[in-house]
Amino acid sequence: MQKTDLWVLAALLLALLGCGSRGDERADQSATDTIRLVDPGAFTFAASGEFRPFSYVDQDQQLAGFDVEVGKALAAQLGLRPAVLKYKFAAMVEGVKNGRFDAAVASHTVTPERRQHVAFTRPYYYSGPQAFARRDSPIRAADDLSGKEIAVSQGSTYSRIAAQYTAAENIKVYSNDVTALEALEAGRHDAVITDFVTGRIAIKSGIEVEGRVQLGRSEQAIAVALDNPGLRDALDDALTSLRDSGQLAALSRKYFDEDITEPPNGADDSGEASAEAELSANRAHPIAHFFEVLSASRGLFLEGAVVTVQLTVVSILVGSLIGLLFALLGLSRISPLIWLSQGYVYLVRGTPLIVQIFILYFGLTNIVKIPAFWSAALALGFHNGGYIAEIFRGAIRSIDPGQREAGLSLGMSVSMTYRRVILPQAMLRALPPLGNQFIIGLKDSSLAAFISMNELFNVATTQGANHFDQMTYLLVVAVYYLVLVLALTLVVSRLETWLEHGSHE
Amino acid sequence: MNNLSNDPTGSNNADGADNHADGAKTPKIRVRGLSKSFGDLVVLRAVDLDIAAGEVVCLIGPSGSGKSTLLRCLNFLEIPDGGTIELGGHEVDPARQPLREIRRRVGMVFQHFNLFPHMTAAENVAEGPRTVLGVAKSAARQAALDLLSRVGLGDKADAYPRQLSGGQKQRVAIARSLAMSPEVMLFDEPTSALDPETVGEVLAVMKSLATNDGMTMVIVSHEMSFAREVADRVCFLSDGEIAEAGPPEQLFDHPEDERTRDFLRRVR
Repeated sequence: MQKTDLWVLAALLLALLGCGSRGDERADQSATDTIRLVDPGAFTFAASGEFRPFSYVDQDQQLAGFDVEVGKALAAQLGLRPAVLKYKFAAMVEGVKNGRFDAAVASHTVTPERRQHVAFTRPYYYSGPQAFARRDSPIRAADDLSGKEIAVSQGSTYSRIAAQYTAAENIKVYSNDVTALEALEAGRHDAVITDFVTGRIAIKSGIEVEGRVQLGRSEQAIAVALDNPGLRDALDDALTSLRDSGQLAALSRKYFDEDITEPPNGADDSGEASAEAELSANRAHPIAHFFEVLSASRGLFLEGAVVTVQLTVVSILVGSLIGLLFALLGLSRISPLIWLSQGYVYLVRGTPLIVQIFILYFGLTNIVKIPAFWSAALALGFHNGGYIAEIFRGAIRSIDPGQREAGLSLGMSVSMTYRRVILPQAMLRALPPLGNQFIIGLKDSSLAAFISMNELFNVATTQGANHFDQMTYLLVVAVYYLVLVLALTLVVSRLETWLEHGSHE
Repeated sequence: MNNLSNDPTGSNNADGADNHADGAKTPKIRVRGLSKSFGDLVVLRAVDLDIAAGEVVCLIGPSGSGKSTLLRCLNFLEIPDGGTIELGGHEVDPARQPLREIRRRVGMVFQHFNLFPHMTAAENVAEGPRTVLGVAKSAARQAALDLLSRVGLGDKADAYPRQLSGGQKQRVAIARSLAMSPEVMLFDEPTSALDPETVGEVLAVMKSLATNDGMTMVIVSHEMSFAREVADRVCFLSDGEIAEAGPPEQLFDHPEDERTRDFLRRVR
């Protein structure tokens, strides 16, 4: 309970905001015994929307898919209105736990770890992890996976399976399975571990990979809060009804052309004993807990910090060089060069950094396969360069034209005048806004997480998902960023003092 | 500023390093038909001007008369639209010749000094010789210190421009130009941005350059008494033309052109 103080506070605020609009309609609700609902009268459940065909956003921007339809059928069975929420998969267990929604109908594999945090219904389908590889890959058996680079989606159980075969630094984490499979197809990594159904669907939709090794069987079930056994029992009953009436199997055939809702090899379907008893062991006070995590996770975070610093340093250097080049082009008197410079700045400022990163990572793979680090570093450098170009251009233009004339009148060439007279002064003026841009660049490096770079932010979200404790890990990573920004600020101000030895009139 | 004449290197600036035939009949600078417009605004209308070696010429005239533009054309900070400029008997063709070769032979002193703020006084003076002439660092610094002494700023060598008064800055700027051993020195209103009390020290340096070193000088100035005292010839510009030119006594005391008279009346 204590552990979740922060969440409770946030939830309270949200609840206060939300209550007003919901009004009194809940009063005459014939509350179903012990079933607690977030919104009485509705079965509010979460789906990821990133797990086609289980869960995706359709052309009408509605959530659709097998999971979503199962959820809606369950709502109908319960006599409730269905209310489906799109929610990040990695944070869903916590969402259930903290009462953001009644249940997660999101293909959760039942695991002992998850059972610590949520209760599961009986399985609504059966699947299992499978290793996928490119067609030309030699990976055939489980042993072939050893030491290979394996990509998985964040918050999934597959990273643990991958860890049985390969070292932690060889496990690359994506925000969803499809991105991981696309990266595999594009020639990155050796294998992806994901659900065999997911893989099959991806292959059917044109991703050129092959399923190779079945790594186990799993049961997928609906997650409900531990302290809401009434709802879980009701959902179990509803599932049984759907199964008996053939509705569940029909939904499965609709999406998969086969019935994945029957237990394979006659496995026991009723084994979902109550796990409420194991309600999270007495955790420390939130502040003490924060410091425990801060200390315990420092190894992983320091590794992430190294990646973040490398990304930042490379992107700042690249960005400064590109920026200076395009600033000078923009100040030239040759129209095509000016257009080139303006076009570049427009392109950079007109598109989101994440789009630029993805284009470099995925889009150019047909031409050159750039490693993830360089995709991110170059995209960041290219992006920062656009802003830095404008900073330099402004700084250079702010230098009195008399300086240029004084240099020229001594017989200096134009380039010499720039090098000796204009740029040293412009640099000094550019430094404060440049320092600002460097800080933005440092923080923007977190977007490299989306192409599986194991930098600070990815460490935080991955650990947060693994421990069902996003909040604490996000607070921890905030500390790392604050320290890095402080260090960068000090470096820039030292640079300023050093450059200032001359200074202005 | 007596130390100026005491310095043995001073005479170098006058005619040393000048191998051109600059006998009595070849002027140091010969300007013919010089014209310049900024858009629709005609600033110079076919100006002719000869300046002999060692001559000191003051350009005066109302603002907008073209005197600064004429001066800036002489070292090609403005590129003329038409006409020719000869330097030491050779015509300068901006299309065929790197302008920096001309500019290093023609020193320029600006109204607002335009010192390099990120360099000390000595570094400012040594910058041209070091980067343009390739003089070694220590030799360039020694020469810079000598020049600073000549303009009375031997003790300010390591001061930055922001630590100097206006007059001191302008003297550093003059030393910076002299460091290139120019054949001609151009002054663009060198005292008009100065506090009255520091005007004298700058004029003294300029006067010493003219009288002790025989430097060829073209000066745009509003200092009529200085022009009278130092100039060999005064040119009055009006509306992009040289309306009247002559020795200072003649131009100041017996102006012939109505526009000159009008201008002098208003300046008084």
